[in-house]
Amino acid sequence: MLWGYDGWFWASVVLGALSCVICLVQAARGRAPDDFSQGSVLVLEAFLLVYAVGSVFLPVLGPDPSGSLLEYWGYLLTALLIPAGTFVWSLVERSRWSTLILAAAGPVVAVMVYRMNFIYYYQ
Amino acid sequence: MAEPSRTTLQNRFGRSGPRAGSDRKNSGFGRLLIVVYAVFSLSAGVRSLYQLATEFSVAPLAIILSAISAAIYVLATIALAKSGPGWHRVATVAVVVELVGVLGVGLLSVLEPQLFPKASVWSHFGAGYGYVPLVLPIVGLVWLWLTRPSRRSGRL
Repeated sequence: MLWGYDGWFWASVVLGALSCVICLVQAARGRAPDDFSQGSVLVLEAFLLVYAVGSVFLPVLGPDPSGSLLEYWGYLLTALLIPAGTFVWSLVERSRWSTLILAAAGPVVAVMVYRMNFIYYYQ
Repeated sequence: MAEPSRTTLQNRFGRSGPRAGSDRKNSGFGRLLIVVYAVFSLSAGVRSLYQLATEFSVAPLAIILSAISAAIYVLATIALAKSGPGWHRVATVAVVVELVGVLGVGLLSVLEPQLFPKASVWSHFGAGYGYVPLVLPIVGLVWLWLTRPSRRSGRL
């Protein structure tokens, strides 16, 4: 725990910010979604899958949840849809605007993980 | 022009060749409409699943209506994204039901608030979502009218 949030949250902040910056730069260069922008949201998706596995063991290895576990998993499953959804969208829509949509995935994932941290430790 | 982008992922997972299944309804402004409908499907869907699991006994009517509204958003999203006159009809029906729903539930939640102790997407005409649920079906119907299959000639 660092400033009240766990490693998962800080990992999501770093990965989400990196992905957002990469996609914003590619969008500013007028690029349609490419390996850099699409790859960065796939990394976010992989992170969330690892986080989902970690979340199964969190109540066993870590402290008991203080908020609703059901709400926690609701957020996690919704978060899992976001990078996947923007990736599928980017396969179909080939324009710089699509790269801009990819840029939204990182910050949204970080906010979702923040909410999940809040539910788990403080609610 | 700069060097071409690396598109290994696109080539691996994307569809090659010209995109099939595209018409006026699901291109241009229609794309934006589909994204907004998809966002509403996701948020209304997750919310109603959560309410069905935890709060059903508190407000059965409001929560059933939430679930129905989520289902209509999902249907409208799919119908708007597909092409062809059949899907155009399905989309029109879904959006009309959505409009009737938001007006009906909105009116009912103002007149009989005790039926709605838990807020739903459509209560108070979607005030909790910035009245987007009220504006969305109207915009949707205008768009469906402009892109109706019988309108052969002319551009938008």
